[in-house]
Amino acid sequence: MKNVFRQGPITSEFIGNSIYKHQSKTSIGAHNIFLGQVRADQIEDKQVMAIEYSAYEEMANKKFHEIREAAFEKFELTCSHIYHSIGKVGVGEICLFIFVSAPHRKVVFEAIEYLVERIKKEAPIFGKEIFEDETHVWKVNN
Amino acid sequence: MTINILYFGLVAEAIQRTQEKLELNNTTSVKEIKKLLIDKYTVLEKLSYQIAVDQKLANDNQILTPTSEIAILPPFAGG
Repeated sequence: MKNVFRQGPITSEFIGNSIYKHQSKTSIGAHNIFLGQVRADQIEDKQVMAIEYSAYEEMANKKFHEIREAAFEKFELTCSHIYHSIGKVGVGEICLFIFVSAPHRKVVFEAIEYLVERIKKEAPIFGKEIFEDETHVWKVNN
Repeated sequence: MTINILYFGLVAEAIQRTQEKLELNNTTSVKEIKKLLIDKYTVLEKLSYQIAVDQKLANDNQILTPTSEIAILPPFAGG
């Protein structure tokens, strides 16, 4: 089972390098990328400084695998990659990186939305929003 | 039978543990374990969570086996 989790933020070097690696796959004509970024939310006069992610990693990796397989069945994709942060990610940093590629453009838009929505809803990942004064609240996806 | 229970996120914080082993009857259902946990940790009554058995979300009627891995999962916040 592929491990989707990366410790800390997902760097722009890592993302750039992932794009670079696809240059050899010349049947691809379209990529689409989704990047989730930690937002400096204001909650009751306090500002979020970071999110600390934890997860039921074994179940989450299985779930990511299942979601990815379903995307391949639904859409004509050449590849699809998902990475999610574990541990602390500061505001403005990237915590989710989804990368889909296909011969033609239309499906990559649909596929990316499908993947993001299912991940948010189904992956057992938990997020502690940490404020400047070190207090925290637990984030919940809508 | 002895089964392993894992706690995550808000739930782990509220009951101050991330896992424990519980001694249960051989025919314990998910519904029964919910009750048992609420008796043990009253704070759970106020919290929202789902239960996974062997890494799949479980319904109340599911019966646990000695090798089941139970996880108590608060609301998801990925992405």
